[in-house]
Amino acid sequence: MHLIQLRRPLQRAAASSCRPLATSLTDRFAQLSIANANANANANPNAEGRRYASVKSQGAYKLKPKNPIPKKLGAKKTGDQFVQPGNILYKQRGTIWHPGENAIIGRDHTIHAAATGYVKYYRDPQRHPKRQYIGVVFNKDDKLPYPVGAPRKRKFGFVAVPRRTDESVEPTLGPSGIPLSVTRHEEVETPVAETEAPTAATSETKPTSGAPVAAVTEAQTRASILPTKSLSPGNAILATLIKEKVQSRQDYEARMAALKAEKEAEMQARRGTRVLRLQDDYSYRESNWEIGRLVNDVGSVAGTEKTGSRKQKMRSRRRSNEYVKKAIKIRKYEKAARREQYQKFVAAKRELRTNARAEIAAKEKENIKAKLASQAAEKKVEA
Amino acid sequence: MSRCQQVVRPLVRSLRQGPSSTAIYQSPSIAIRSLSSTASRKDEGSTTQQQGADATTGGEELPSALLSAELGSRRRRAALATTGEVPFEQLPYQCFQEARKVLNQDRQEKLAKIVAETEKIKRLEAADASTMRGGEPFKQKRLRSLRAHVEELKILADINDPLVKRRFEDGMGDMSKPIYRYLANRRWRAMDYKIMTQRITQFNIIPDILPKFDPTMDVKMSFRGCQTQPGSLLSSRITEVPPTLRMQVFDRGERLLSVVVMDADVPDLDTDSFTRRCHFLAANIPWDPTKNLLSLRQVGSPQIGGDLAVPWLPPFAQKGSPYHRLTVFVMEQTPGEGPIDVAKLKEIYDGPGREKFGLKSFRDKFGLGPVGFNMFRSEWDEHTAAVMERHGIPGADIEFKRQRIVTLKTPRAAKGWEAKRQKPKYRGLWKYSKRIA
Repeated sequence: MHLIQLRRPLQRAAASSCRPLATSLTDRFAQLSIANANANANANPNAEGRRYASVKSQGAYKLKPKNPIPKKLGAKKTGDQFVQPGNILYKQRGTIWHPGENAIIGRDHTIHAAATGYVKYYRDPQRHPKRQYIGVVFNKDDKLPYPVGAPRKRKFGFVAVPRRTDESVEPTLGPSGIPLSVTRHEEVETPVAETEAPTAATSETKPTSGAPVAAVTEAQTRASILPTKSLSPGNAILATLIKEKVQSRQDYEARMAALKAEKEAEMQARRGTRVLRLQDDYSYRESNWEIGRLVNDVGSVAGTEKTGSRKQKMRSRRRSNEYVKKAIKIRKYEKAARREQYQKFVAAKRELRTNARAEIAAKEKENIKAKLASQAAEKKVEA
Repeated sequence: MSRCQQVVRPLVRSLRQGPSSTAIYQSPSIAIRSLSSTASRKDEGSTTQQQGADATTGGEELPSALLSAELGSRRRRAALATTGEVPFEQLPYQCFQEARKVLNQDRQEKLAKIVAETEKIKRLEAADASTMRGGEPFKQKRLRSLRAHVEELKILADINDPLVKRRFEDGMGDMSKPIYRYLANRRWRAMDYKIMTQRITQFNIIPDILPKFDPTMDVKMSFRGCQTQPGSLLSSRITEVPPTLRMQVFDRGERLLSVVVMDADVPDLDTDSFTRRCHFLAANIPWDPTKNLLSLRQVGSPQIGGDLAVPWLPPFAQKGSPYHRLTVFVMEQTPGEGPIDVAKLKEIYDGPGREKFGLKSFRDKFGLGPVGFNMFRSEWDEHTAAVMERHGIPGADIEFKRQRIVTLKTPRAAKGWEAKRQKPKYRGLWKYSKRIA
């Protein structure tokens, strides 16, 4: 920039030197001189452009702005003035004043009243030798600080009202004397009588629901119908085992069926119960939310599902998947445990059976031996 | 196991051993006099007289079932299995025995000093005060300082005795002896005292009830067999019955105590302030350092003694009121004055006299000094109504609500665009300016 500014008079001088010679040589030399060029520049500042201050002059940074936003600090209540809790007593930067009796300090060091009373400005050398405090007293005549060792002056600040007991009785009847709500139960048949009768009759023909159980009973009846042959000892054991197994399965399935039926009945009863409420037009009607519940799951209203973010959806899906997987895992383990138990049971039975067979075989052997011995003895006798 | 542990193992075993085992093993070859002779010393002043007594005679010991070799940690069982039934004093460790010798020598020095000091006291007591330069006050001052010195020496004589330490830590210390009282005081000052003084200041007991107070005795409180922390909030059902105080004084001698339980935060609607109420007052309870347990329920019975002036009133706080500080003060009665007149106490403080109870006036009227303190707090809870009904206390049917504070500011006229256009002049704009929002 400086270079350019320096160049300008030189350029001008060069331009003038190229003009046709009208004046004397001395004049031209005078024009060329630097001092003269400077004089020319000073003479016409507008043509040259203005230089503004980019750095403030000395001391200008220390000057305060002439019209700042007022901060409105200082005492808002005078001594002995009546105040209420929350009233601002003093606004300040830093703690020029400290909160004393019944006064609290705010985040910006503003002193507020914490009680209803009269403001006192005081010093408390016992508490701090240099600090000045603002406090609130209940009586205007009191002086702060209170004497050391005197009981604190406290206000109760409560009024007595009759105690509200928690057991609020909900009205059952409306103002005109008719019930506010009617509960309608759907008729549910209790299947208890049905199940009792057959169990008493015979243990073999139990109440059955479902094809497999029926098949089993059929098989059993067939087995009972079959001509009762005298079985060999080993086969007899097998037969008892099979019988036991069939019996236990039958028992289990009957139990499960009963449980299922009970649950179903409960669900039916729950679904069948309707609470009809008295409306403004003296009609009884279900609430809308209750009607809505009939359609969907309990607690959810169709069309009001929250559509969260994609991330949330994925997270919930992952969670539910985990939950399902966990359940599957648990079921798997349970199944494995059951299988193991059953295998043990079978192994034990098998052992029993083999032992029994071995015994029978040994007996038969002995029998044969005895027979042979007796035959030999007879032969001997005959001989 | 480190070398150190190996050495210490039999020591530990022996420390835990009962006197029965020590009695069985009487080795004539190792006949070292017991370091401790304090155990047999019933009279505090006579430390010098019974020096040869056996250490194991004093204090009750643990039941033998607790000392069996099958009980305790693996380390203890191993230690019992490896060492014979050697009593602690006779453990055949050279360094240990040398250390015992040093301690014993120190003790002998202290005992000699005690003898010398007591003789000095006797001489001073016999001397005429008029011959002294300071006269009678000087003599008394000197006597006091000498007696204090003797007391200090008594403690110094026993403070290094491992058996004393063991007995104290097992809770078997005989509190009639200065050394055990000293140890108990030191233990109390280490933590419980600090907690108590903190509660006293933080719960503003000091300016509210008494202007100055520094507890000098240990008071622990338990309701229905459960010890409570000082200042804890207790359910009103728990505090329906009077508490049991576990009190320990650390200075010698018999004294009479008074126990006061008072509520320092009873709401007073007339003055919109708080008053106090006496919940329990008993006086003339004989107490000494060996006594430990005071059931407030049994005050007045022949085994405890004392006079019940104001029976227990279950603490209660009406619903909505801030928590009530229930303070237990143990006051020492003036030594020479004998028991307080209970009839007078009853007349002043029983019945309607419970209300507006002032501990300061009670203290001044009967010449008492507060020595022990404990406290708890009570608030309204689900059992309070039932407790109040059971004891015929009225006031369960009211509830306290905060006073509504009406603002001092005068209502100001509405300002702004809407307020301006409420006027009939702007009828055409009413559809925008009226009943918006």
